[in-house]
Amino acid sequence: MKTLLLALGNPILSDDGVAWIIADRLLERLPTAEYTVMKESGATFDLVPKFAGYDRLVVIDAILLGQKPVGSLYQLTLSHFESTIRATSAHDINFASAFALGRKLGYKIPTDIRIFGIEVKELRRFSESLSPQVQERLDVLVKEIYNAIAD
Amino acid sequence: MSYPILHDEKRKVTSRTIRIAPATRLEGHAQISVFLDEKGEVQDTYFQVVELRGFEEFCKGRPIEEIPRIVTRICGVCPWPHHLAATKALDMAYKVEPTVAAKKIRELGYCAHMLHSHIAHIYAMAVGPDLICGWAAPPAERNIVGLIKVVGPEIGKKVLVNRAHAELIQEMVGGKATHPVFGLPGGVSKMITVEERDKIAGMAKELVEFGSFTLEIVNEYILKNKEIVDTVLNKDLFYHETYYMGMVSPKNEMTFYDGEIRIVDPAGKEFDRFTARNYLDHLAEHVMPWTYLKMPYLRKVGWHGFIDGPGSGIVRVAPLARLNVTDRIPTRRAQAAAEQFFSMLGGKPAHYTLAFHWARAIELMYAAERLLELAHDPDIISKDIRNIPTNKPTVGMGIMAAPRGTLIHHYECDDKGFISKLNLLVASSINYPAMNLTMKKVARALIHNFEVSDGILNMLEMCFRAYDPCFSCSTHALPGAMPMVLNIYNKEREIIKTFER
Repeated sequence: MKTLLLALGNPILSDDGVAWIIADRLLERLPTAEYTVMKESGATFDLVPKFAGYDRLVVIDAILLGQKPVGSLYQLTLSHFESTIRATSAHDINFASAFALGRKLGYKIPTDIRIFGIEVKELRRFSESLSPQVQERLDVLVKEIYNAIAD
Repeated sequence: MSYPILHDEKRKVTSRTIRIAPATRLEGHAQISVFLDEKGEVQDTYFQVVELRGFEEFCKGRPIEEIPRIVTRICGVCPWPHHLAATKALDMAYKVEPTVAAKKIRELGYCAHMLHSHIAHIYAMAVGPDLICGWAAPPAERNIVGLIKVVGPEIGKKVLVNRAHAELIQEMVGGKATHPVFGLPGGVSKMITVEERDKIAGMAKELVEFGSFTLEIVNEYILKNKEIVDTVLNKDLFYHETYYMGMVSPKNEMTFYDGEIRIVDPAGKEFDRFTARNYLDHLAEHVMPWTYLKMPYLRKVGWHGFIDGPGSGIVRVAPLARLNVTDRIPTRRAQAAAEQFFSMLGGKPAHYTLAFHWARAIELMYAAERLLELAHDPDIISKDIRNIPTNKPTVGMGIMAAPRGTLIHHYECDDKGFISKLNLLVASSINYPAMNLTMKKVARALIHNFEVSDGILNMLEMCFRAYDPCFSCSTHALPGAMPMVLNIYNKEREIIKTFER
């Protein structure tokens, strides 16, 4: 199955960079013929044409919900985002809108979409280091996401 | 259903907390608070934003030559102006003048970025959702998908194709699509090949046509709608007589990459002009107790609170301001559009806040025309792309006309070239006092007797959206939307209603 692994984050904004680190580690273990890794800073509508041609999309991003301990993994679907289809992003459309747009315009976008959110501690402080709580969960997070996507 | 939808049903504030579309709860980055008196009239409003922390500390001790590649990571929205403001600051710090070709290559890439940025805001963020779908349209329709429903699917394809052109040009010139890496003190790291130039020229031609198409959309869907035009021109709503600031050429023509900063007063008379080196003589910042962000103002006028007029140091930047400070735009189609703009808005300066959107469309036109001009400039494929610096770096300042307004970078380094001081004055922050000013006025005009509607609340958001502010960190954290909390308080400052999303 041709899979696009989209890691969203900022590598110098402490825990916000966690998805990029996980993507690099996953790439070491996943078959490169089937997986393409894309590290981006935002889920913008530039991505819509780039989704075309993939059977599956895996998104990894930092999330700050405060509902689970730091370092926990949430597995989400687009339906979690449907009610946020609004023009509310600072400067671009949001993730669910990007998909709605792609479908509306007839782009062949993946049908199998899996979204992983990692509960983080810090998203607004510039640092190249993850918080200790996220750092110590890295191995577990990589394993959990690998198990969830490696069919 | 007929669009634009500009009216919806009002309801009385009754409960303490009502949640709107709370898909997921995320830390807030922006918050609007409206304070009501005992009669349900608006006493005051606060528009609060949260800043990223620790950038100066992050940069201290790093080699100054690394900074242009670090500042692009401040956010995923405005990496190009940060990269080029930093590169220009390095030119000054190393006392090296870039080659003619390098300046033109930088400007060409930057025009593509302006297009990339303005396309998103016009079609996906503001004009499309708020003015074409309508500010009172149901939230689920007030987005680019709703825009396609109103205008047709072809527009969506045009937007995606032309934005992809802009992105590809950014990548070809800057080395990376989003976060450029090509700026070096004295020039750029990579020349443009003939093949690349031809490809860029082809895309630029299409972008010029897209610029005209965008201006037609504004004409057709905005200017022909009397109620929208009346709202834009209503001096009791989105209207403030302020100072304006923007970059101009020596002939006071529009330029995004290189020039002096010109300030005009609320009557349109030149008040001041300065270069990067002496920006601190002209701009100062005021601290408010209720927000993390400081309020920049004109030092020579002073901070006198949230008022407009010649006695207030509040100054506006970004597209409307740039049109107000320029005598003309040096490209044909954009200049013609600017003449129509000022003719309809009663001359220069135009003080109508919602006219920022129209000004943005005119800038899109200019960026496309200038891009095409540069693509055909013989210097653009020159191999002479860098003067090698021979001096030790000291102090550098760089200014860019960012999509969101004037952006200033200021670095100082020690005798080994490591950063000892870094100061960034960003456009959204310069417009922040004006955003608050606009919101106070619009809230007072629209909210009475405890009655609100979704459309009215969206019009409060339009107060800041006109300026296209960038609260960077909110763009990439799940769920991808800027979390917004709107609190309405009674006069005892107790929350009586909260809207969230």
